[in-house]
Amino acid sequence: MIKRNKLLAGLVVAAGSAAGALYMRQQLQSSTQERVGLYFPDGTLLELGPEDAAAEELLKQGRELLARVFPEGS
Amino acid sequence: MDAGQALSELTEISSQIDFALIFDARGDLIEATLTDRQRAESLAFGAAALLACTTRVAGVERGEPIQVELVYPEGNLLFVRQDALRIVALTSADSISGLAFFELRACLRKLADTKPSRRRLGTLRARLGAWMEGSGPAASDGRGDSDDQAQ
Repeated sequence: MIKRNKLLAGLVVAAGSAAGALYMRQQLQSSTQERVGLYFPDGTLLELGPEDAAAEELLKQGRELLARVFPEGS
Repeated sequence: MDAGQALSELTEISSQIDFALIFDARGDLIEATLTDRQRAESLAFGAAALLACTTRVAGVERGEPIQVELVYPEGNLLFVRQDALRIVALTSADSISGLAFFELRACLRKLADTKPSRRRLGTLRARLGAWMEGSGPAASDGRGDSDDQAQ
């Protein structure tokens, strides 16, 4: 009975660790993903991902700005 | 406080800022941490154009955003608008955007706060200049009175 409980506890811990790792990986991916945030005077935020055409255009313009500062893409 | 001083304080306080530059609504450069002036002017013009595009993206009803964040894996481009002044900065990828926005806004506020006293100083200089040119204290008093009446 004790052995069975230990096995069950081990399985729960392993499953929790796997879920945590997956969540952290997703968080890390979303934080490094290109995106645009527009903050308005009324306190609202419009967040656009790279799949949005408008965001893509703004991100492209931003890259061009960076290329003016770092011409070799450093 | 002038723009150069405000920017040097900003980069001193915030190590996460790689470069920053202040410009006006038309895209004219005011001051930059970049040593290459020509490059900074080009960047200011491009930044103003980008901000104009954000207004178009947001739509007429929402108006112009006060802060814009472009997130890249290598770093973040942050824009802040405060009255007639704008600032753009590149921060490191792991920086906290909220904190960086706060510091950029504080930098612009320092400039906005010093403007009225600068105007007063300019008026005093103009009056002193006119007085020194030989119009004398009487003429200076007269001009001062008319200014006061106008106000």
